[in-house]
Amino acid sequence: MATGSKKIFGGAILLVTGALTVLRIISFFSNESALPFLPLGAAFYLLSCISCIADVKRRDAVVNGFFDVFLYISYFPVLIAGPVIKYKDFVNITKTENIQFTAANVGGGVRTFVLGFIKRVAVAEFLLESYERIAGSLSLEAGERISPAVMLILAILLLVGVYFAFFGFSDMGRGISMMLGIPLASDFGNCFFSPTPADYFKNFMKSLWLWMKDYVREPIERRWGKKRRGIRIISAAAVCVSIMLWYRASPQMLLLMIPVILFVVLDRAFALKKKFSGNLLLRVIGCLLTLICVDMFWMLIKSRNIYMLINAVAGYSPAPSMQSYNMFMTVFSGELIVVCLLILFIMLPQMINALGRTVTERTANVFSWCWTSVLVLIFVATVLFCMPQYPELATTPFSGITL
Amino acid sequence: MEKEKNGAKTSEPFSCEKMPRALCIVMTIVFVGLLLSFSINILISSYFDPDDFYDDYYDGEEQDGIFLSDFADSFYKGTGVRDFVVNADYLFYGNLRSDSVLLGKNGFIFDVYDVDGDYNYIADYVGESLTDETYLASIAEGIAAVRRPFIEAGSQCSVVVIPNAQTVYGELMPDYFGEISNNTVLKRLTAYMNKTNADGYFDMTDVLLAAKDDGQLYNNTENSLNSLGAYYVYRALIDKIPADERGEMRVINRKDISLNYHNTEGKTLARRAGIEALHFNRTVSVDFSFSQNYSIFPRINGVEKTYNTDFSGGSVIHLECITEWDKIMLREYFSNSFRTVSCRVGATDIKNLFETIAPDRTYIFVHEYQLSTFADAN
Repeated sequence: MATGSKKIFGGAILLVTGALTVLRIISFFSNESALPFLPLGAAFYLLSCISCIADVKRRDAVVNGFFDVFLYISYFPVLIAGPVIKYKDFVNITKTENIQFTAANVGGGVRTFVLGFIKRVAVAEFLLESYERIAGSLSLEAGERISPAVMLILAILLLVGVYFAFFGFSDMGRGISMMLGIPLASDFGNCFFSPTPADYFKNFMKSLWLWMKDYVREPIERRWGKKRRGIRIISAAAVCVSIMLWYRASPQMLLLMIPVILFVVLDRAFALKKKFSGNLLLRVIGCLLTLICVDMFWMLIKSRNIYMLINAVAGYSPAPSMQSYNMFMTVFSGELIVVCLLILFIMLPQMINALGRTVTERTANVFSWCWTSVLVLIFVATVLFCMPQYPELATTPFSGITL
Repeated sequence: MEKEKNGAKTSEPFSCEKMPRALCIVMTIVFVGLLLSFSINILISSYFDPDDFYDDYYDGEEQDGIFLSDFADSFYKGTGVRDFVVNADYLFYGNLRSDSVLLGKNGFIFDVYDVDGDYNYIADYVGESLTDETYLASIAEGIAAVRRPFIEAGSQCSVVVIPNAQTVYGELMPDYFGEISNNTVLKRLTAYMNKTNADGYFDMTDVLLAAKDDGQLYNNTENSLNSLGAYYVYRALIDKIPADERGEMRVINRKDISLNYHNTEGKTLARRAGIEALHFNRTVSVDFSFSQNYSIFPRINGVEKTYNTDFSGGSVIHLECITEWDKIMLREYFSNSFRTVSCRVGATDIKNLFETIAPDRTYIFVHEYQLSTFADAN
């Protein structure tokens, strides 16, 4: 049963949503260097505010005082890159009996932080910088076209780079939280084999998807009936548009993203994911379409330039030399091979666990020691070799992808 | 996920939730006690003790006075860290830290684009420079305009084009770019000048291509001729002077010079890439078989003169060079060949020049990457 005045609740939600909207509008018409003091993490703590207001209204959680709410909103490990924690979940995990400040959590937190650091600095930044280098040699003013090969390389670099950029920062935040005795679940799963864009975003920042589901989709469906297909379509569209706006898509970009929104909507209305999962061919087609859709989305977000995408799709020509040379040097460089090996090493635990085999505790300990030791060495190499090249990550963490 | 198997507990190979206790303690000590302290030390010392704070050699970003970018810049520009990163990147991956240069074969580094202008070496190399007859005609007019004041003052004037290093050493460019295109600006301009029977224009490409077998003609870390390359340019120009116009002079033959090859620290392009200490420049110095009896006189109105006491008369030669390096290389030969040689670098004022000298023959040296300035001047 809800509590409190609906007007106050509505007003509070409007105020917070309005603040987020204003910040987004300001960012549409400016660039980051012009406004260095835009509130860092506003996108996350404003979501936290909405979550707190809604959970208290719905009586899913109780506020024990101003300090509790302040602690929740300002919980620093998740302030920059998530995961987005709902207030009701935060109240639960921060109960005294649930906070475990143990050697296992501190050690695990350190390892998770180190892993996140490597993902963000050694992997993501190289991929995003390569993307910038290739894309930067384009000159749209001169009417240069983008060749299909270059588009494909750019797409792969951006898709993987953005994934590891967000994943890395999220892991760094989770690691710090774990060191404080508050372990958080991983926010990223395997989204590259998702048959639908909805499934992709469910595995890319899961917490954000769950937040949108809890505070955008379900209120709509609860109010007007979940069983009606039209309502499911509207709620799916609302979630999709909200996520895109949250990632700083402009209204013009939303128009270009209509195919993606339609895909999400159809998935919700007709359970496309289930249909695709049952048929290998459909699943492959779905995966490819999904990757194309989300790549278009990330390219728009990254470039802030809808004309680049239109131009790229509208016409092809043989690659101008330096554009393809930059691509050639990136693809065939030793550095990319090292980064690919690094990605394999980072994903090694998941890949081995996915085989489904079990080993004795002793063997598991040996695995852990070996893998962690190499991880620490890679971390040292990342600090000494990679970090000096990208010191702006310390002050403008999302310089590669605007947020 | 734990199970029991033959009485022993088993689990997934990587149970992320269950790290061995000893490993947890070691990780914490290493991270907090060592790495974090080390990182903070580098951060603080780099910021409060920056070296080359406004050095834009490698990354070229200017300071804009905003605290955050000052911090980022000073962290990277802390010399020890930067040099390590640049050198490691080159040694491990063969990467150069500048987009304006690229690594070729046999230790050659080539320009990608002109950092001071808008000429793109690679685009021209592959024949993508936009060139039509109108553009070529405007360059030709510009060349004629530059020669005109000298001709009106009674000096025979020639414009000499020194090709880019990649024009002469195309086989040392990365295989990716293939052979040099037949549509480069220089090739098309030369064809145009030949077609229109323009005089006073010399393209040194064929001369230098023919001379490659004698040795390295260019510095491998700079787009400039070395002493051997300069000799062949000199010799080609001397050979074009009609015999009855030479007057008292000496023609330096190849056997009159002996070459000394040695390595120096990397020059311009290596410095731009930050690897001047790792990537040496192979250069050539020249010993003459005869005594060099010329004296250099201080500059007047920017003109430097040499007088050679081996000759009692002969033509007065004037060299208009773009770079100091060209002047040094070429003057060596001309000053040993003629009584009076004057040189000027990068100046354009003709009036001052004729107040100082009255050359019989003027050579204006330009580089291939500067041909567009003739069109722009028009």
